[in-house]
Amino acid sequence: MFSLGVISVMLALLSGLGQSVFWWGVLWGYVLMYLISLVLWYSSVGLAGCWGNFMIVDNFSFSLMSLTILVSGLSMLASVRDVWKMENKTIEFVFSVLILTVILVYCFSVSSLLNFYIMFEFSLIPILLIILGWGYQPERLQAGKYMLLYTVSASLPLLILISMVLVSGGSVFWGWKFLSSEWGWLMTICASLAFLVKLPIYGFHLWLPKAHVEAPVAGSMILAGILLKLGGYGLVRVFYTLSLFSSLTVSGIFCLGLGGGIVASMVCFAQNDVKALVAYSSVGHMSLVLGGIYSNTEWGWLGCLLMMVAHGLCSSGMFFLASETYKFYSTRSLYLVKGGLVLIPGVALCWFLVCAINMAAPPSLNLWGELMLGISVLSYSTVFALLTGIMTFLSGLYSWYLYSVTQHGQCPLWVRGVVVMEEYTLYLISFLLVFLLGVAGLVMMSLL
Amino acid sequence: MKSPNKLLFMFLMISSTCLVASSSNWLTTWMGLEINMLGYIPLIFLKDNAMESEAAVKYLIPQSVGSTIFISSAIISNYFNNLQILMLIAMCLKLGVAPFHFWFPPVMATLQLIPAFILLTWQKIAPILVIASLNTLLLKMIMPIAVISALWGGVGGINQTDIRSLLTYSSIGHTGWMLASIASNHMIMFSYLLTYILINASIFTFLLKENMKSYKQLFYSKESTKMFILTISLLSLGGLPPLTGFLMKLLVLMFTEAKMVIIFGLITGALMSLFYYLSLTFSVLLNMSKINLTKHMMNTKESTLFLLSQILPLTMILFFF
Repeated sequence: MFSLGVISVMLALLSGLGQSVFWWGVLWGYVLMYLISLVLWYSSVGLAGCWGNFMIVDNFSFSLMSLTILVSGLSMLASVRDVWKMENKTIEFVFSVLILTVILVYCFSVSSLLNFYIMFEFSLIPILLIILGWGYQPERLQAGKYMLLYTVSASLPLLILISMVLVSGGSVFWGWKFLSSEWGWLMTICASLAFLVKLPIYGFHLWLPKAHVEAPVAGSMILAGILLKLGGYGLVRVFYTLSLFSSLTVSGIFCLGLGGGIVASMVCFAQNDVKALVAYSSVGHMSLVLGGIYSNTEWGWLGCLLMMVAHGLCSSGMFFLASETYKFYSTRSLYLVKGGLVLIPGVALCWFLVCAINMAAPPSLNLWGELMLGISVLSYSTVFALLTGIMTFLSGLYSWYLYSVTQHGQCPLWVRGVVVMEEYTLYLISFLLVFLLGVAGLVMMSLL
Repeated sequence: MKSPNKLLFMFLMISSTCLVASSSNWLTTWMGLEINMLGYIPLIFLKDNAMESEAAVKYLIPQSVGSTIFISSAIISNYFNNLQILMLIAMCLKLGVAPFHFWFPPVMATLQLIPAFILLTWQKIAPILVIASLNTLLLKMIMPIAVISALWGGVGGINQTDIRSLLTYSSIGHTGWMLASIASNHMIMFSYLLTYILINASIFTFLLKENMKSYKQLFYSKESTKMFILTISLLSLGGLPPLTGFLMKLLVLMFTEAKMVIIFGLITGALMSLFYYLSLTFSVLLNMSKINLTKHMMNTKESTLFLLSQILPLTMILFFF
């Protein structure tokens, strides 16, 4: 943990050395940080404290921290053309991403609920800066405002709850359980509303497609890859800490989540923007994560962790490919983006793999996540079998829909068919993502 | 502001606030309030135009009415104890808290920047101290006023295009929060007031440098570092979590003894005001994307000070809870 902090400070100091040194220095720094964060996985007790009780790291934190560092590094790599080559406020961009990474890493490792809340909100400022500073359309203002107001307003009940627990119990440390369940339903809603919006589940999701459509590639990669996972992580933590229980509310949220997941999956087919489609597909996947958490079983929580990591890698890969498509076609409209197989076969292969992973095809981590989540949801009530089944089916359907609509058909005449040399390096990114997913799935298989 | 009579009036204004703070009976309190008003009014005149004299009259009338109600109810409440609530209301009138705030935005809209800053910050201290020294039973009754004020501060500012009236509505909202914190613990109210004054000072330092009054002028500023600092200060005033403004709101929330409904109202007001701070921030940020930032290097002394003032409270809160 300490070395992660030191590295990030040293990376910030690199800014004096000029733009290109800074950019690539920070990228290699991310590689280093990623390797160091992997060391944290090998702790003997599955729990590591740092700086006294200030930071506590366990299974959930390890994997999400590594995911954070990986995805933010990749998002910088993905915006080489947008930001570094164009000299589009390079240093400010790198600083925003770096600060966001540091905030998120700390967010995943602090031990108190209040600190988590503060970091949770703090992460909004850099992502707002990224969307506003490097987005494309003027609508990004509205998107940014939506995002900020949705998240902040939903998280204020949580703040009240935290301050009440803090005053009555004296501390909001993760590991303790304080709250007696008077007014259990209100407590449950207060505690989970912030994260339901952040995940987001259907009904609280309006900010997400807007933010994704307007964000630059790095912004939407980070948003889908990490920031949505804050919601799942927070739910696990809050439920573990406060041991809330109110069967009626939980059932209600369950129904909203799973039913909304189906609706969101169906809404996918009505989208005409690639990015919006991917955003809605992540709403669908996240509702399954919600089901895993609320089923209140160990399997559900582990499955939710698997799903979050897998979806973090997969959806950021999809957003990267969407931005690549935008570079070729100068549009993201599904009516115009056609014929990728003829035009850019390498990218088409990436699309194929990522779509297969998004629909949870066998060797991937997504499959394991989805299986574990499905089983834990069924253990809550067999009624949900139908909903989960439909959702899995629909996720397969829209993944292939996305693939076939963008890659088949006749490609428009204005599109340039040449792949520039430098783009080959970029495809390595998505291959890397795919590769990681495959390896992770195999490892999981051998473990189980 | 440099002429000797201005200095004299400044001295009057400051010392009379001290008089109010240290007075032991209502008569001296009243005297302090009146002297405070008399000391402030001449400070309004920076350019000697008609707008300023209009502002002075608009300021004078509610203030003197407030003081009159205050002293007369203080005397009468010896005989009718219930009338003490009038003292509270008179002070709310002087503060410009929501149901009694109608004089406040028009006055602010016609003032120059320095008097506006004084009106927003220093002129709040004396009345709020008077309210804090009232009967504690009376202070329970202040909660509805606090909620209305926080809500009105949120609603009123939404459609404003003038930075001064925006800050006025934000001050109405913040005064609501301060009033809510009076009933719990005075130290929290004082720290809230102090932090509010400091954040406002940082905003006004920037505005003064460019002599900005309207929203649109923000688009034409050239100094991007200062714009960034202004952005963060505005968000801090809005109470976005990691910044200083959030810390004071958190303190109020933690130590208040108010009902849930009241807390809910306060928070709704804060949210609505966050909306207009955001709009203000956006115009700054959009402008930042137009100019090339790399050409203006950071002014290290300013930015270090700024980071200390906005981020230091964060580390405090991180390590102590």
